[in-house]
Amino acid sequence: MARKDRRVPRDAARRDFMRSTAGIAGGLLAAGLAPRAAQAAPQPLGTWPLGVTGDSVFVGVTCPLTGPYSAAGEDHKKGYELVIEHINSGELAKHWHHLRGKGVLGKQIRYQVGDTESVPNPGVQAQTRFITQDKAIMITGSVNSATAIAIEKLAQREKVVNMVGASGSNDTTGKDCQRYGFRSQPSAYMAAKALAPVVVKEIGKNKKVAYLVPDYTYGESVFDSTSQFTKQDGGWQIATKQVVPLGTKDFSSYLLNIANSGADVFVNVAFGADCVLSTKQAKQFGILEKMKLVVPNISPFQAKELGAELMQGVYGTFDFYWGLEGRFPLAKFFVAEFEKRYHYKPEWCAHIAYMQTMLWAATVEKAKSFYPVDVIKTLEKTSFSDTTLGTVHYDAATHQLVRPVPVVVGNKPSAMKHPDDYYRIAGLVPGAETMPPAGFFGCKLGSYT
Amino acid sequence: MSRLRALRAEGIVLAVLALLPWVAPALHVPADVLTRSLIWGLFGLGFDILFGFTGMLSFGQAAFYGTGGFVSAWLLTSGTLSSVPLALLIGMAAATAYGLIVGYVSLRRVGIYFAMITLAFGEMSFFLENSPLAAWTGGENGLPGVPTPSLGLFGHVYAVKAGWPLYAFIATIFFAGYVVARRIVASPYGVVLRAIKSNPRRAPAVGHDAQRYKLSAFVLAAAYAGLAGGLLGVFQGYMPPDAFFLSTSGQLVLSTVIGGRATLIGPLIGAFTWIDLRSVLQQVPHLGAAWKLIFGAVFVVIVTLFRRGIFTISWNPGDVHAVGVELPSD
Repeated sequence: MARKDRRVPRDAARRDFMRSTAGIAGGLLAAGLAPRAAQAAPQPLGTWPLGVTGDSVFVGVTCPLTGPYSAAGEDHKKGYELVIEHINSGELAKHWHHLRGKGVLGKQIRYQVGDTESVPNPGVQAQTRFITQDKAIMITGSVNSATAIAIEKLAQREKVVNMVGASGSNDTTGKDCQRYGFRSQPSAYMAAKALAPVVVKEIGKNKKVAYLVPDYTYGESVFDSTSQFTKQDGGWQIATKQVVPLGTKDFSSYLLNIANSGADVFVNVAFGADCVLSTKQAKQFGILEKMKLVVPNISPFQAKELGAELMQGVYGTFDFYWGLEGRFPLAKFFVAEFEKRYHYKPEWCAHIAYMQTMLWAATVEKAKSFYPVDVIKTLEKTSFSDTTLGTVHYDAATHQLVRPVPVVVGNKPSAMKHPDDYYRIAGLVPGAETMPPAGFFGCKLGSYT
Repeated sequence: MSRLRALRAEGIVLAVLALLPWVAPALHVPADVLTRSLIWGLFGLGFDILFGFTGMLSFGQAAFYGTGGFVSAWLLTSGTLSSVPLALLIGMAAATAYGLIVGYVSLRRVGIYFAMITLAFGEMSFFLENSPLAAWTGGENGLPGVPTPSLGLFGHVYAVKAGWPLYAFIATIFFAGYVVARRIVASPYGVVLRAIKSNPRRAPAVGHDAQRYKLSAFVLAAAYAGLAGGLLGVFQGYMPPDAFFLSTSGQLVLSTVIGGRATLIGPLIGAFTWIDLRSVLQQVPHLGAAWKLIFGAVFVVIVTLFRRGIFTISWNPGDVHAVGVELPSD
C-alpha cells in the first residue's frame, strides 16, 4: 500500500482545494451545514496554480501495458522514462537549445504511468485520477486513437494541457480536435498523402485494392485517406473492404474474401498485434504471393515479429524511424541514448513520447509559465528548430504538428546491414506538403478557459 | 424510538458519506476512487435486490448500465439536452424499458438458464452498441465530451466541478438510491422477494404471483443500472464502450460477492475494494504490467477468506433488514 508521505507539498495543495470545495460538498450532503463560499483567487484554471506550487510538477502518463497494444505501449513508456530523465538531469538541455538547465522552469518532473489496457476507459480513469489527485499540469500518452480522443476531451473539460500520444486518426486533430490537445504523429491523411505517390510509382497505376480495416476511428480514417489519395494519384480502385473488430484472433473469413477479390494490392490497416497476426494468416492464404502488401502506418516491432522475409518490399509510413539519425543530430542523440539504456533501436511510439514531452517542456520554458492559456498560445505560435525531425510547428488551427513524414520500404534480408536494419527510407516528405486544406476536417478548437 | 432505530442504517451511511471528504484525504483515498465506487455501489443496489434478495443471478447487467449511460451521454453530447439531471432520468427510463423487455424474455427460465439468457442479452447489447448503432454510440470510440452538471440552487447556477463537488453530487444520488432500496427490501413487497429466493416453489403456492415479482425486481435492477451508467459518463466526461463489456457484468457480480450479498451496501464495499486496490497497485513503482497479476492473486485471497462477503463478516449490527435473511449455505 504505497500511499505517499502526508507532508509532501501537493497534499497541502489538496487541502486548499478541499477547503474551497468541501463546504459545498457538505452542504449538498447534509442539511444544516451552510455551504462556504469559494475563496476569491486570481482565476485558477484546471490544475493551475495548485499543480505548480511545489518544487516539482506532475505529469500524468497513460500507456497500454496490457492488451493487444502492449508491445507498443511498453516502447511508449520507455520514451517517457527517457525524456523525463533527460529533462530532469539537464542532459537534453545540453543537446537542444530550446531547454535550459535541469527540469522545466527549474522544477523537476514527477510522473506515473497508468495502464490503458489498450481500451479507452482505463486510460480516462487513470488520467482523471492524475488530474484530481496528483494535480497533473500536463497529461500525455496513448497508443490508440479512441483512447487519445477520450483523453483529449477530458483534458479540454478539466483544462489540463494534453500532449497526445500515438494516435493516427484524422479525428484527433479533425472533428474531435481540442484547444487543449496537441498531436505530433502524422494524421492518417498526412501519411496517406505522403505514401500514395511513392506506392503508385513503385507498384503502378490502375490497381485493384483489398483493404483490411479495424472497426474504429483510426481504421476508418486510414482507409478513407489511403483510398482517396491512391485513387487520385494512380487511379487505384477498391476491390473489397473488410472491416474487423479490434483484437480479432481469427481473420480467415475476412482474408478469404480478400483472397477471392481479385485485387493486386493488399492494404493492411490493422495495427499492433492485429496487424502481425493478420499478415501471418494472409501468408497462409497465399495472399502475399498474389498481392503487393502496403501497410499505411507500420506498427512498432512489426518487422521484428514478422521477419524481414515477409516485410521485404512492403511500403508504409512511420512517425519516426531510427534511420533518420543520419539526417538530424538530435535524432542521433535520441537513438543512441535509447539504445544504450534499453538495448534496441527505439520504435516510433517511444519517439512520440520523447518528442511530445520535449516540445511541451520547451514551450513552458519559452512562455516562462505553466499557466495553460500561456502554454497553449505559445505552442500555437512557436517554430521548434533542430528537433529529432528538424524544424516543426503545431498548426494553430488544428494543433496538428507540421512535420516531415518518413515513407519506408522493407529491405531484402540480404540488403540488411545489421539486425535492426529492416527498412530503407524511400522518402521524407515535407510536412507542409502533406497537410489537408484549411478547415478540411471541420476542426473547431474549444475555448482557452 | 423504534422508528429511529429502523433508520439507523440510513443515518450511518449518510454520516459516512458526509464525513468522507474530510476523512479520505487523510487516508490518501482520492475523491476519484470514492466517486467511482459510489457509481458501482449504485449499480450494485439494484443488482443486490435482484441477486441478493430475490436470488436471481444475472450476467447481463452491463446491457442496462450501458443503455442508460449511452442514452444520457448521447442526449448531452449531441446537444439535444443541456440538463444533466434530465438526461440521467431519460437514460434511466430507457434502461428501465429495456429491462422490461429483457426481463420478460429471460425470466421464462430459472437458475443457470436464466443466467445464460441474460449473458446473451448482454453480449447482444454490446454488439448493437458497437456496430449497428455506432452512428449514435461512437462504436469502439464511445462518446467523449459528456459535460458535468450545473445545478440551480437558490437562484444561483452552480457548476459541479470534478473532484469533491462531483463526489457530493453522486453521493447524494447514491444516498437517495440507498434509502429507496432500503424501503423496498423492508416493505411487504421485499418480504415476498425474499420468500421467492428462499423457496421459489412455495412462494407461488401461497398465492404470490412470483413471476411478476421477479420481473419487477429485474426492472428495478435495470433502472438502478441505467442511472449508474449515466453517472459514469458524467463523472469522467466520457461514456466508454467498456460499459457494455461482459467484464462489466462480471465485475458487478464479483463486487457483490466480495462485499456481501443481500446487504445493499455490500456491492459498494466490494467495488471500493477492487477500485482502490487497482489504483494503489498502479502507483507502485516499477511494477508495470505486473500489477494485474498481483491484482488477480489478491482477489483469490479475498474471495477465499471472506466467503460471505467483507461486509457480512466484518459488520453485523444485528439489523435484519440491513443484513437480510440467512443465506443458503454456499
